[in-house]
Amino acid sequence: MVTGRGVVSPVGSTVTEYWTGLRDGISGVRQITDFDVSRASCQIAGMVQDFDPDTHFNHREKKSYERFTQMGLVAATQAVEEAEMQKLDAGSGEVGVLMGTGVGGITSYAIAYDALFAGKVERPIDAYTIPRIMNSALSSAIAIRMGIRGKNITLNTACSSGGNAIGQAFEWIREGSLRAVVCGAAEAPVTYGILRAWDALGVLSRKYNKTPESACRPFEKNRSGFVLAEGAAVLVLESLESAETRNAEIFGEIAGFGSNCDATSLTNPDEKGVAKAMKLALEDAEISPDSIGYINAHGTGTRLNDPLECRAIHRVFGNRASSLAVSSNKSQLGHAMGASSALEALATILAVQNDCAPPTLNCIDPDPECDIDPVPNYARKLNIEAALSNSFAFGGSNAVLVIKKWKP
Amino acid sequence: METITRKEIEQTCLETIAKEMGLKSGDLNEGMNLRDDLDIVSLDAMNIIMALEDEFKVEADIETVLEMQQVSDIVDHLAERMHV
Repeated sequence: MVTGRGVVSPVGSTVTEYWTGLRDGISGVRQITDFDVSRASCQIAGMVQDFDPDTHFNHREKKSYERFTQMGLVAATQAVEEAEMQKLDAGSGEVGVLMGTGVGGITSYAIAYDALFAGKVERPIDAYTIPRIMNSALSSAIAIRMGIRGKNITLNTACSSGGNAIGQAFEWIREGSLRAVVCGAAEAPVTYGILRAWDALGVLSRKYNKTPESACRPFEKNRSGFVLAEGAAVLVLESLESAETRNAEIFGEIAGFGSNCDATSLTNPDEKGVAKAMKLALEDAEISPDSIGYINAHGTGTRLNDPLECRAIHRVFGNRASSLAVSSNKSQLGHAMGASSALEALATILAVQNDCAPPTLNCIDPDPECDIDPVPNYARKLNIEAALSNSFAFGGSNAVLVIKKWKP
Repeated sequence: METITRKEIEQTCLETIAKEMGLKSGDLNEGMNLRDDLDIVSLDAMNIIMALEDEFKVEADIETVLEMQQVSDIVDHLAERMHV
């Protein structure tokens, strides 16, 4: 059961702002202003606005925590407060933390290399560099702030890290090893080096630097790739017994988890592998494809991903796929790497809760090769009893969650 | 090379500590305890001493620095290293 939610995102940094932003078709993609992008082909990203570390952290925390940890910790604090974690006895060992990230403290790597190599004279490396860059910094920071003494794991499956973290947390609770888990993912990858590295792969949108909000166009004929993004989404998952015992409000149910590997390519997704992940999730939830009212797509907006994902949906849903509501939050948020799947899982929970499919922005001229209903440009009210949240990754690690409406 | 005084070392130490710890150097003095008064832990101490090494072009003894109690201990150690 989902009993707590928290988010820091390019379209809003409370759950209410986030949902309103997605539903109303707000774009969080903006010009990058944190560093000089004049030599980069893609100069835009999904950037979190007005994130002021001074509001959330003391001097030592600011030194200790790099941006991805800071964002994740703010989202985790929201989730834990909503779940009223103080009633859960976090120190008992029955509550754990499982967070995902793709590139962890990449900003601190950049600063350290800059000190070593960029000037005529080598400058001292900050002693906090190692604690800041470690991928497990966020999981540890959450445990330290909340006093959570159970399992504490950080997971990295590239862009499906968040989906796998939430799915694995769901399995921990189902097998009975933990009562509750704080889970999700955070990412702050928008550095000059990472931007150029992704651009070198040819998957970033280069045509829309003057109109950033129109850059990411999943399922559209004119799609030309994605843009990087930053953000964090955190859930508190809890067993039904635990939630009911303490009368916790339940916002939705993680009902199934499909996790597999294409085992074909480091960079190219595989239609059969992606379809298999969706089937595994449905089988795990013990529901038929007909029960799914909405799919929150991986939907990167690259030439390769979108038609492949749609063909995989057809493999699972048959003829019904053509009219199935399938939208991509990346059209509004950008692609927050390891955090994207956690952000999108939260969006899916909110879609199910509100009986409303958020839109695929910039879907002016849908690509006939993407034979689904992309919910173009405007959110749509529809009954959603259950939904899929798809996330795929470089390396072929797929994670698909089944999210059901909670009915006591 | 200009001769540096102990007072100048002390002032630089106070400014470096203040910068690292987010404090005002005017609020610090060399009688302060590094842990109890200034909340300096080992990573802070490393940043402070590396900045001072860089500033004064000397090499401090890290083990000695990490065992220091007061601001004056850092000043004395650097003064000794610089033969002040």
